Amino acid sequence: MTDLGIPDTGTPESGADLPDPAAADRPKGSGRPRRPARFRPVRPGLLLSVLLIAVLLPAAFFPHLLTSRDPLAAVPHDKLLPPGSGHPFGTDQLGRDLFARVVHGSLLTLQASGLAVLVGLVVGSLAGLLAGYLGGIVDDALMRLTDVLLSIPGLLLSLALVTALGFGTVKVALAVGVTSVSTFTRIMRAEVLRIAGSGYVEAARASGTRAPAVLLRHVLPNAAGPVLVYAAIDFGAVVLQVSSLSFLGYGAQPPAPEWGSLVSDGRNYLATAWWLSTLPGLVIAATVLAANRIARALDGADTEER
Amino acid sequence: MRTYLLRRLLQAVFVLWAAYTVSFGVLYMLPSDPATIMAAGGGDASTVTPEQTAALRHQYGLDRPLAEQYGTRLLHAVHGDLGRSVQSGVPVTRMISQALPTTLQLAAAALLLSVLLGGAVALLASWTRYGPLRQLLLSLPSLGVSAPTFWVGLVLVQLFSFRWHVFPAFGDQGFDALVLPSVTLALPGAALIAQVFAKGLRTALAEPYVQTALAKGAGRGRVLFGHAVRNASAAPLTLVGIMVGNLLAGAVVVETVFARAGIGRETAAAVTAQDIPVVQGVVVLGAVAFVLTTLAVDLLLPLIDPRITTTARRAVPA
Repeated sequence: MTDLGIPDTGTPESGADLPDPAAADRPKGSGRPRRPARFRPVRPGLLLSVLLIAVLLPAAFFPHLLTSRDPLAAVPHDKLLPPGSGHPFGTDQLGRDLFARVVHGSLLTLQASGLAVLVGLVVGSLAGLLAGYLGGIVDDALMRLTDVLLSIPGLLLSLALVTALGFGTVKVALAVGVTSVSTFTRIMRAEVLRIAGSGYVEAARASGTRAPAVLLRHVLPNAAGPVLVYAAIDFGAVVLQVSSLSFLGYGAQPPAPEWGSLVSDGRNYLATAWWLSTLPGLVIAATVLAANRIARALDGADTEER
Repeated sequence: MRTYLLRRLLQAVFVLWAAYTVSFGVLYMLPSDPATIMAAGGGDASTVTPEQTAALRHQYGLDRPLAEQYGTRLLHAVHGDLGRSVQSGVPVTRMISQALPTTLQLAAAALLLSVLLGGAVALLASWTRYGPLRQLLLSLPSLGVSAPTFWVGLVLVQLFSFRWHVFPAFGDQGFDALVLPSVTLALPGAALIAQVFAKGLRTALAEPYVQTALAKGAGRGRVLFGHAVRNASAAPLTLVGIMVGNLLAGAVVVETVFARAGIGRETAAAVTAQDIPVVQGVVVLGAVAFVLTTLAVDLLLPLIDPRITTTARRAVPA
């Protein structure tokens, strides 16, 4: 490849139509761009995304850092105030501060999304590890199962699980997590197949290491990269699914704020109080956009895209 | 060709059977007790007497061994009987067939829109030589993927119904009422198509045959539409199979937002009431939609790209 010897730190537009050079020469599936220099050029979109997530993540665990108001305290006198000083997002029909509700809602929504990704990651990785390493009947059975799970639309599968499990934030998280298991399984299996044939695994086995130790010490650490990157990619989609189920009313029960149910609560005031549905929804969209942007940067597909 | 068709049909039947089995496993075998759930009807389970539960259990055959339940239910399902709704007692197949036309209308409109919209964005982005416009067009899909469907629907209602009074906000009568829901439902799919199609076009335009065509004096339009489009359209076409299933799932949200009577709203109501047979029926319907469209797509693909052969062994390239 003619690289001209210039390190690729210039304007991102310069290589607009060229394939990403780093994608070609970095070891296949290592998941991480080989040259950290790729992150150096200032990309406003990425920077904004990182900033947004950096503000949101602490809010999901310590909501009091962002707002001192109580998300459940109703002040009837202040009901349906438009966004303004004192209430950045306005107030709802009971006079509760919408900003406080959105901030406290991130607690439930982001934790549920994190749990869902974790379920997919752990279960999917284990299944993929087994399928790839054991091969044979186990592999066939697990792969057919993922085929079937992928042929049922994700949201419908989640709805079936919610029907069986019941309502609530944790149950919604489980229901959403199950739908991403099959993709994690496939990625992990492909990685394991790639690594299981490599010299060091053969050497470990030849020197008498038992299968569990080979899997944990040699295969898993080397296969983890792409799976973790997919976890980042999956996060945005999971936030959307969790919010959709919460919008439909299967998440946390009423006074507790969740992003999806906040949008749903505002439906009766669309004509008179636009902010009730619009602003929480905007927060969801911004979060998903930022998460996807960061995931794409992690995936290194970013420069390939532009 | 015949063996290929037969093989694909067998595969389709297998997927349907497996989808039925998975939904049975999820809905009937999970630790929760279906009879209690049905008797409570989504309400408080503590108000249900054991007698009620026992009666329901007997009525739905839930007191028989699991394997026997599975056998009889599967046998009925093969004969087109998916059981009766717990809430209304109406056969699930009749509920679905009554609600299907409205949803099909919505899904078809949305599918058409996503293909047109996604295709137009990708084509324009590949056609334009003006950098900023290209950047703008290429960043649209990631916006479309990130915005929650239910929120897009509500914002559209706010703008087009309450502020500008162009389209009705709710209901399912007439063409006007179809516009906003189908746009809402179409956006995620359009974004997906735009992404994949733009990538395909970019790859196709870098191929040597494009250079040859340009060198022989063909215009950019001719190269784009005559050469690149056909070669780039195989990947988006395979997406359609996945999209149809997602449209059905998306209809659950969109029909709730726009208060349209259809499968989606029936599903949402059935989940709220924990109406197990109806939910299972919809899951199976989703699998049917997926299987049928992927089958159709697989049969169409060789027409677009003759290199994809329908025989088991691929022809050796000359």
